[in-house]
Amino acid sequence: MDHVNAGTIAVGAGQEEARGIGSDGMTLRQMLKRSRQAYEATGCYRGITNPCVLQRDPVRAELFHTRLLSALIAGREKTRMISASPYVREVSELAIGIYTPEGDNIAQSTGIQAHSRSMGEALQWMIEQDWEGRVGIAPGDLFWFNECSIAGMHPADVYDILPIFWQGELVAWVVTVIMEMDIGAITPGCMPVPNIERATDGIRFAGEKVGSRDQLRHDIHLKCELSFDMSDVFLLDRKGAIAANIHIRGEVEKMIGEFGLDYFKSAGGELIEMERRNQLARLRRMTVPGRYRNVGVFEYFMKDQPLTWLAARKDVIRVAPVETRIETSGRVTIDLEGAGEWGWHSCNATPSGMWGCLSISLVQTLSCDGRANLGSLLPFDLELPRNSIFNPQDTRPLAQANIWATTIESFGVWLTSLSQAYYMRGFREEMLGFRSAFAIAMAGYDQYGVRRPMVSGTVGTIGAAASAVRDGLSPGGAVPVPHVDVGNVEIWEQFMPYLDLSRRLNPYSVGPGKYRSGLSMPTISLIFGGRDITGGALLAGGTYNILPNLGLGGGYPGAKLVRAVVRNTNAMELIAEGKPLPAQLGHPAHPDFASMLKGDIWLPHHVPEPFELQTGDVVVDANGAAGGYGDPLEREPGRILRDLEDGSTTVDIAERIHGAVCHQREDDGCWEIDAAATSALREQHRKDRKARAVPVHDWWQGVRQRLARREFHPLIAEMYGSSMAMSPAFADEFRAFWALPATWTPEVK
Amino acid sequence: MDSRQEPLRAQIIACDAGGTMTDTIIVDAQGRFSIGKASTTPHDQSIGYIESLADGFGNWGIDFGDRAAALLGSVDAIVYAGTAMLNALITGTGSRVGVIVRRGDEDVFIHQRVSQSWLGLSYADTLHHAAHHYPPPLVPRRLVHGVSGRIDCLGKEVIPLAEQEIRQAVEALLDEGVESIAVCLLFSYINPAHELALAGIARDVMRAKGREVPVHLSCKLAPISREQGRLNTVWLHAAAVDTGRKQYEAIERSLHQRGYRNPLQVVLSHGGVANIRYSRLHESAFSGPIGGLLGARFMARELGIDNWICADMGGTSFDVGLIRGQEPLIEREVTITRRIFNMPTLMMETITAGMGLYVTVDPVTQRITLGPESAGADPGPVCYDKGNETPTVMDCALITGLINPHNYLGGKVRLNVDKALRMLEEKCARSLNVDPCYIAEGVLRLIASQMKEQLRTTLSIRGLSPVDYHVLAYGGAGPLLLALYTEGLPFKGVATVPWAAGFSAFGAATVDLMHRYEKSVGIVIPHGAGDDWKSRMGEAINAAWDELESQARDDFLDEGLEVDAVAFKPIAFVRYGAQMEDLEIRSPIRRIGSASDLDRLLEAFERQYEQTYAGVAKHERAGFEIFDLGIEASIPKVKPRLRRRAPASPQPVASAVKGQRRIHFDGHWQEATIYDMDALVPGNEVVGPAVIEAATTTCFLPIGRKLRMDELAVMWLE
Repeated sequence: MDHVNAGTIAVGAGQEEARGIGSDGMTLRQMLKRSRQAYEATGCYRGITNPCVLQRDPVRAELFHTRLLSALIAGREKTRMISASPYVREVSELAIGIYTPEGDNIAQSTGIQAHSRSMGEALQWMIEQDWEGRVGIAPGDLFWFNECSIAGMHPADVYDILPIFWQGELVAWVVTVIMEMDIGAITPGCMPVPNIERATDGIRFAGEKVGSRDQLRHDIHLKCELSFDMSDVFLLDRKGAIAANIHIRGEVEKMIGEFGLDYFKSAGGELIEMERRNQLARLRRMTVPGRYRNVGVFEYFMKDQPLTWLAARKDVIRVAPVETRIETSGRVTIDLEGAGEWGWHSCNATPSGMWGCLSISLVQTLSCDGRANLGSLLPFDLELPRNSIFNPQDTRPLAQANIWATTIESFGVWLTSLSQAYYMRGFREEMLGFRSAFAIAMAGYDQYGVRRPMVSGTVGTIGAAASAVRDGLSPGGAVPVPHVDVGNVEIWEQFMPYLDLSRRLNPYSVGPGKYRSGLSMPTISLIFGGRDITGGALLAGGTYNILPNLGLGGGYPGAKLVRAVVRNTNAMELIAEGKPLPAQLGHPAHPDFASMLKGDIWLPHHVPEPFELQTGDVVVDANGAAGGYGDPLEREPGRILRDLEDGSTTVDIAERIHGAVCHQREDDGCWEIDAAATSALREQHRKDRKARAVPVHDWWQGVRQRLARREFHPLIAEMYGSSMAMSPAFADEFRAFWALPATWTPEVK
Repeated sequence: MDSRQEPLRAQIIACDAGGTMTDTIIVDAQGRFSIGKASTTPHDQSIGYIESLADGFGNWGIDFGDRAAALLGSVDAIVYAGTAMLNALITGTGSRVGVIVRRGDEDVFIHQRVSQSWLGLSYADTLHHAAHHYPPPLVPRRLVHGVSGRIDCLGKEVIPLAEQEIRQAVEALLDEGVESIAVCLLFSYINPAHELALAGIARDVMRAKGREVPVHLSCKLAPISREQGRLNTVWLHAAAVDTGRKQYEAIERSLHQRGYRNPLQVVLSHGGVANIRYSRLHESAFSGPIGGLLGARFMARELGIDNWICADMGGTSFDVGLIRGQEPLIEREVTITRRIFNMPTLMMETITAGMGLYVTVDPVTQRITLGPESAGADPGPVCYDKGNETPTVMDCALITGLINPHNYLGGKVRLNVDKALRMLEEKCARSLNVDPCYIAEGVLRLIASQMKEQLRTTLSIRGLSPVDYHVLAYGGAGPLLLALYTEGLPFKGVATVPWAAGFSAFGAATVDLMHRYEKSVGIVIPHGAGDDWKSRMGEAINAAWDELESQARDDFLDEGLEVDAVAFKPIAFVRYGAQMEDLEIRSPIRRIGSASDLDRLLEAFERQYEQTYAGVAKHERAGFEIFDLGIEASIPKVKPRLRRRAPASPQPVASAVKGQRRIHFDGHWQEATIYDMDALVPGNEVVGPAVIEAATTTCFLPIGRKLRMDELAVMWLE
């Protein structure tokens, strides 16, 4: 390939932009501006009102997309093989996208689906900043990006960017994202929790040109080696990404040779426009238009965190009404009006992060045919109130390691709305509740005597939601990656100084219903073999305690996350005495780690501040589960018996929740159900429900009186106060619903 | 296949018992062969096998029933490949297995490896959360027991084995009536002490209870890391080997009763062959699908061509494998029926792309969609006229004229073209407002495109290029679209064979007696390591190879074979420090005698690594690690020979031309010449547009393409 000295003419204020590296001699900035104006004017991507290139020959269009997708998938596989990270090899935390010169996603590989738009936002920021003129963009240039104040889900997701040229013209970009286990953050690993300042997140790259002619710069190599404990892992991941990008560039060049440059350029844009139209068609076909309202509550416990800025040492709770409006045209607005104010913690969302989570939720539901791209998102509008937890206005000073924590929870709520819309249209099997999770992170000297951060990959251990036709998976419902996995103990234990004591499913985690959620798979880890270890959380969401993991259609909530740290234990003595260690979570009221171990039990009710760990300590991570579907009293006896057989429920739960009277036969140990007793018990449960029920008006009066007397926790008062201050509309609606005076505020003035 | 001369002596017989058909190849002492076919009889595969054998001899005009003793008495080797072992997995009809795992892992068959909730689904379904589901648990929860005891990742005992828990577990399993016990403990591939001790205690308990069942250990059967695939493998062995071996023994008995005198041999998933008394017989579970790759290896050696990419098209899937340096690639994990097994298996990548796939138009996006569901054998495509009204790829091939409605399966099945056309019109063409023939041809181009991408991807993710590879197509449907799915890729050559439909059975006949062994080790060579360290590591490597060779000799002896003839090939799995994946390196030297010998091994790794991933991905500063070593041990066996015949005229004889037929291709109807494949002889050339038909396969040749049959009857597309 010829090396093109592109974009050499700097552009100052007021100057005409010179011949650029884009189409027809335009600069990328000009192309981007033109594309946006055309979209504004027509409502169609790039103003493509007639996607005739694809429609003229649908077979050729399919051939083109097949070719593109297979190049991306092959590139992704190549990266997986080179990587040194179990996050990549075992859990597939990577993805590759191909972009138009304007930075719009045409197609994406499998893998983590959050970045299709945000990688484009990174490109567009570079274009807007005139990378072409001021930095230079040439064939073979390598750029890195993880600056989340501009684009991205969190700094641990590092983008490798490679421009693709054809005869001197930039015709596409390829971008690979890999989640890194170590970017040099202040506390363990890549997603620190207690920090508030950006410098403590770890290393950041904002489109930095890190190499040319397909080779990493030597100084960047050295910088990485000096910056991270796990520089080999970081560098091998990056090299895998570069190799994948180079591979895809080669495939794109071949495609242009086969299909022609004009076809390639037109088809790329038309694929986006066609997907926009298809997405609208899906929404019209699969949902009922209307207004769907659900609510999310977000907790940020910072009071005990070792912060550098004392003003940030406070706990706050935020409420966010999530209103989804589906129009008859298929357009959707997700409106978070009423969300509370942002705060000094690393969990504020960003618009980029919110779009990322929308992308995740769509790829696994509406747009799951492998064609997802920017067009999947174009029918959507996100209303993110300025300065709310979803849209802080100046994120530059802020740590952003845990954008996920807020974004993913809000889209868990949104998916409830989508499920309701599906249900009304009769797509009962498509209903879906999402929950996320967090996992243990550590830093210190590992079992090989090497000092480094360590993070486990247990985010896939949550129980997935039930639909209206079947039970949820046990486990299998991690949000970020459709190809969820947990990996093998034998691999994870090579990376962390611990012994996994349990992969037993937790019957108490289930969201019961006619169809139950999946069971979560708690992990119980015995710290062993390392030294000077600091523990912490790898936060990905799902830490919240106030709102449960709600069910659908009368299904009960799933369990909440349980975390326990048991220090100064007698575990090593028990081993020496030949006595068993806890190997399951057990009953929530008297868990096995409490009954079988002696030690200091700490049950952090939120994401914990960093804590010391030593050999013999035990860390319990028990993720929750999503909700069930339908009335648990309607659960088929056969399903209950099957659950009893495989330990997915207990006889106590069967009676209390499902009204099923079951016995275990003495001769063969099999379970059987007493049909008559079950019928009677279910009838009794229904009577008891009625007896407990309160007329809505009475309930409303009771709550209203509490509100009038301001009988709530100061954190709750502050939460409502924040939302009411942020949104007069929310305040008005709140007061009107509860018939409160116009001057009422939740906080005592 | 040569059906025109009486064989002197049947020397090798091999079969491939698939889900519906059992193919048998009979090779005579001159290397000539005949392929027979019969329906598979799953309840007793020996019945279908003998019928297929009779059909094969029938092709030579020989009545097998009358002359069985004479015919089989002279046969040196009979080899089996097929589904007998797999059936136990698919149907759940294997032994009742009890399982012992480490305490805390008792739910492993319920939660499974989470990736098993989406592995094996179509691409769209892998994205679609609501489509994810687990295959049924292999073992009921009540038959899985956990016992305390832990070996850590360095191979050290951290928690002693709890003897009492083992006793209780074994007693409980015996009380449940299990017929065997499968054991998989963490890190047993590094330190097997706990598994071995457990087996000893279990035997004590059994003796005390007066009931003994086999105890199968993961450290013996699949000493490879990743415990979940290892456990599945031990289960497979425990559950399926007895059932499978009984099927093999029934076939062997049936053959012995008819005069065959030697043991039946079975193809193993890594490409070797073993006596059916082989201790790790579960390795034969995946033998059917790999037969074609073994045939391809044989062809590579016969033709003296190193590198091949092999394509097998069936009813629902398109399988692609690689032969590099005349050796097939091997992987250590294989997915069978959506479950992962740790089992060295010839690399084969599969996509959903077969002749039976349904063709639909998405009501929302108006996209033409292929599969993932397929019509199967019953009711089959629309043209079978057995009730299905959803068009399939096969219907499209029929509508376009590429398939002869009167010659399907040698004319045994008549195909209804009109109905296929009507349904394609109603179900697809009308909604897109296009000519159904446009759709039919487009479907063939789409599926060929998916197949082409699979060929391209299989090569490219390994850093390989089509310019270094020949294509070999087989399977009944393999040659039909060969010209389409290889079009535009710069392969060195594109070939198929007249016996493509029986190629898997052919492959099974070509295999040496070969076993493969692996062992986990902990070889670390830091960047800049000195000669002393390298020498020490070399000694450790040699010790492991010695141990594996000794094990191989023992196994061959147990099978009653002569060990002096065994040839060994040492293997090392090398990676850069900290990497998650390694590359299988055939060691350039037999043993590591010095630091420089180790350097030669590492240089071989770096060469292969650079070729596979690109130079930018090299990272020698991280040092090198070898966590697994292996050997291949083989004893040569008699094989078929391809008969070389002097080339005849390029012009096929007149009787080879069956006539003309209209085909829809390149957007319009055109006349194509129809040839009888069996009437072509070496030297003949056929120019497209043409369709070359045999009873069980069809090869389409578009305009501008030429087919040439070489001296070995290999058909080359040019």
